[in-house]
Amino acid sequence: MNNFMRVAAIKIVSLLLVLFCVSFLTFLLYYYAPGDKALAIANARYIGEGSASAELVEQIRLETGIDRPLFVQFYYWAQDIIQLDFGVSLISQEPVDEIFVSQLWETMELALSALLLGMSVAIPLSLISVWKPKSFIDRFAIALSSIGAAIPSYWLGLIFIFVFAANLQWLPAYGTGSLSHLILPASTLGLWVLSSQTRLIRSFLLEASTAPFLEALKIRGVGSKELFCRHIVRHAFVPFVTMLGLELAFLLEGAVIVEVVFARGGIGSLLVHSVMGRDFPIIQCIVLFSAVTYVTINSAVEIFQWFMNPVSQQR
Amino acid sequence: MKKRSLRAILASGFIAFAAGMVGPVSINFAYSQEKVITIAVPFGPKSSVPDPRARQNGWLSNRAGVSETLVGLDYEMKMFPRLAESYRNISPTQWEFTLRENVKFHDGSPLTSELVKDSFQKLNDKDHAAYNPRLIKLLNIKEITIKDERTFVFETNEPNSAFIWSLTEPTASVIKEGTEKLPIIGTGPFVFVSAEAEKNYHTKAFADYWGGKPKLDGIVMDAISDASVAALALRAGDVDLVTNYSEPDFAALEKSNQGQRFEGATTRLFFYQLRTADGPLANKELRQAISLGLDRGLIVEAALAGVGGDPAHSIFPVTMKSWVNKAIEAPYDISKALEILDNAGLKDTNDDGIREIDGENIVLKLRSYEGRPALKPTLEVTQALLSKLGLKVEISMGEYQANNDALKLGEIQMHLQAWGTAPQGDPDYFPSTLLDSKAGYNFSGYNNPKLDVLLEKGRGEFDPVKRKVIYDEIQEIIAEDLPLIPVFHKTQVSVGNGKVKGYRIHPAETYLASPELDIEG
Repeated sequence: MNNFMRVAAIKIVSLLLVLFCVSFLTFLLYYYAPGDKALAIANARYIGEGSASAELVEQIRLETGIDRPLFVQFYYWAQDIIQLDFGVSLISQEPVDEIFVSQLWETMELALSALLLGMSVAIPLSLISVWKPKSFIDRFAIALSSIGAAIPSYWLGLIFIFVFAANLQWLPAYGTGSLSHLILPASTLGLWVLSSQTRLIRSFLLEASTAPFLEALKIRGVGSKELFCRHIVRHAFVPFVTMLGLELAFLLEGAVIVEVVFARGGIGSLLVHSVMGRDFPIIQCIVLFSAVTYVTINSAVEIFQWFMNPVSQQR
Repeated sequence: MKKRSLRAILASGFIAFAAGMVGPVSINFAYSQEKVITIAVPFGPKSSVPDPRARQNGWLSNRAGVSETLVGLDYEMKMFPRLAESYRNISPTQWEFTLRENVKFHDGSPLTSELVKDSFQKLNDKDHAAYNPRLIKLLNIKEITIKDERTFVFETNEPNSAFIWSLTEPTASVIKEGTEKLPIIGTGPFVFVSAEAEKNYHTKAFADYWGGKPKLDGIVMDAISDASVAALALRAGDVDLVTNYSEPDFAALEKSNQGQRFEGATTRLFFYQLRTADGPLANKELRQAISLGLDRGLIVEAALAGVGGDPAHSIFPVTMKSWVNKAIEAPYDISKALEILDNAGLKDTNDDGIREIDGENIVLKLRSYEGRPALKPTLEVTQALLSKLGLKVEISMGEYQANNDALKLGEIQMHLQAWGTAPQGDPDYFPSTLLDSKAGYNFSGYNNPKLDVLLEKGRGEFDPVKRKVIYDEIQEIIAEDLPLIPVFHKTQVSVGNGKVKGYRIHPAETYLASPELDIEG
């Protein structure tokens, strides 16, 4: 347990260090964004398509302290971020955290549904594929993972809308608000999860099935079923969990195309709108969130891997 | 046994997916009995309570029939009294308005001079959601004096003939202070119900509307940015009308004479803003050759399937009869373009296929931005057309404001943009914003004192006949100097589900809902 505490402490310290670096880089993105930021803020906040007066731009410059040195600005920015104060949107003037959380919920809904749909097919398909190599299911799994990876989400989304909404009229073509609105986007994203995860899980299982210790187990008379279920699957479990974590992190930010096609909200489309409108506080919040998600999930997975690996626990 | 267990595993994997696909069939969509039209629009509101006076929120609320202005623009871009019954110019800086009788706000209170004054004063209040420095600058109001309950006088800081036109700008709407129950209190035929940023805008009918009770019970405007999805949503029956239909799909419908089609010319101009202060395009002959080398008809054919626009000659469309200079022509004449280049000494001396200027190959960097589907193909066709003139053209897409910065710094030479050239119906806005030497959007670095004088003269001239002469000359200067090159005027195409009634496309793109808008059945 002491060992575990030591590993966890190291991970947490390195996580904090990475987060600090990421925050600084996020701030640099804003600091070195091209153009006059005071003018950009004036346009985003009040103008839209038009011209901001020099007085207004000057007023914003004074108000926001945009001309202060980099580290002074970063200090004040970081102070707010630590208190989870991301400021207000330059466009809507609504608190960034409120906008972000409402969109995060929609993204989580979509990402988790897609993950559930994709995984519920990918896991059994991969298991059967490796259990019965060169069978119909194996060939089907290979074909599905290749086709799924080759089909762009945008195209698949349109096809789903065309078939299930426009022609069969079973489901709504776009929007949010009910379970029926979730099915087509979750299936679009779920098929991508299915294909990528089938390919990965299958390769993890195949790699595990060639491990040298399996020969020893066979000599000791362990049956093929036990060998597969207890040893190969377990051996493939560690890389699988790593990929699962990263897949979730990717889905949280990578669903943008599906969000746009189905006219849903979500973090991805929020980021697109914010970049178009130069809404810096929202951009910074999302970039920071993405980084924190990846780093946190990665660290959690590493701790999990350590926990699962008896060899590392003895060190 | 083994086979059965395999099948069980396989089946369990597909159950969740299949349940998702089959289950929803039984979901009953509880459509309301009310007569509500659902309209797909390309852009949504910017916040959950978008004050019509702030930013350009008024464009959406005016379209949704929630907010109204004192003066409006009709379908020929001519002014008409809206909330104001009448108005008159009592001195070069004073305009007297008389309000229409029996106009009520959505909370039932009557429209009065005091409330109009209060609404306009909020534009200047930095702590209020209505704060709008752009409109303050445009209106340049010194004082509002109330004469009686229905009469008041606007006094401007300077004589400004565009003032009355500026009042047609949808953000110049008259809004009463909102409450928790009614966050936006306007005077239009529809009452604001709710909005979700970048998603939707819901309204319900206002029975006490001064122009008569609306035929519809409500309007839902759903933001669907992808035109293909909007078209499929129409086919699915999820929306009743798509305001900005995909041009190729519209052309197909037109060819087969299908669908409830609407089309109307707008004042939106797709144009190139050129860096004229330095770089290769400081050379006027080169700019003229580029304009002659643009086959605008081909661009409209390629980028808009031939149905979404009209080749532009001047900055104003021919439908804007009050201001367009019909004598201006922008023909496609490649022989003349090549002749101009040769005569100007812009020749390919080293036989690498690219003409030179001051011993350097002419390399033009063209950029545009995402958001309007026709921009990218226009850029691509332009690249192909200009290469025929022996010019090397590099194209890219960027972010709008960053493109402006790049043009200002001379990092790019041409920025393709789409602007409404006369959103208030007045001709001053577009040239003054882009071409006046002190204009905030003059990233060309264009400086023509004669044009500056004319623009100032145009703003101070109140006689429409004399103003027309001034703006005719302004259009001639633009066509000659080419600090910007007009490409095409956008035609908006919409498609309904066959049941939509009372819908027309407004040239300013800022009007849609009216009491007459209806849906059958």
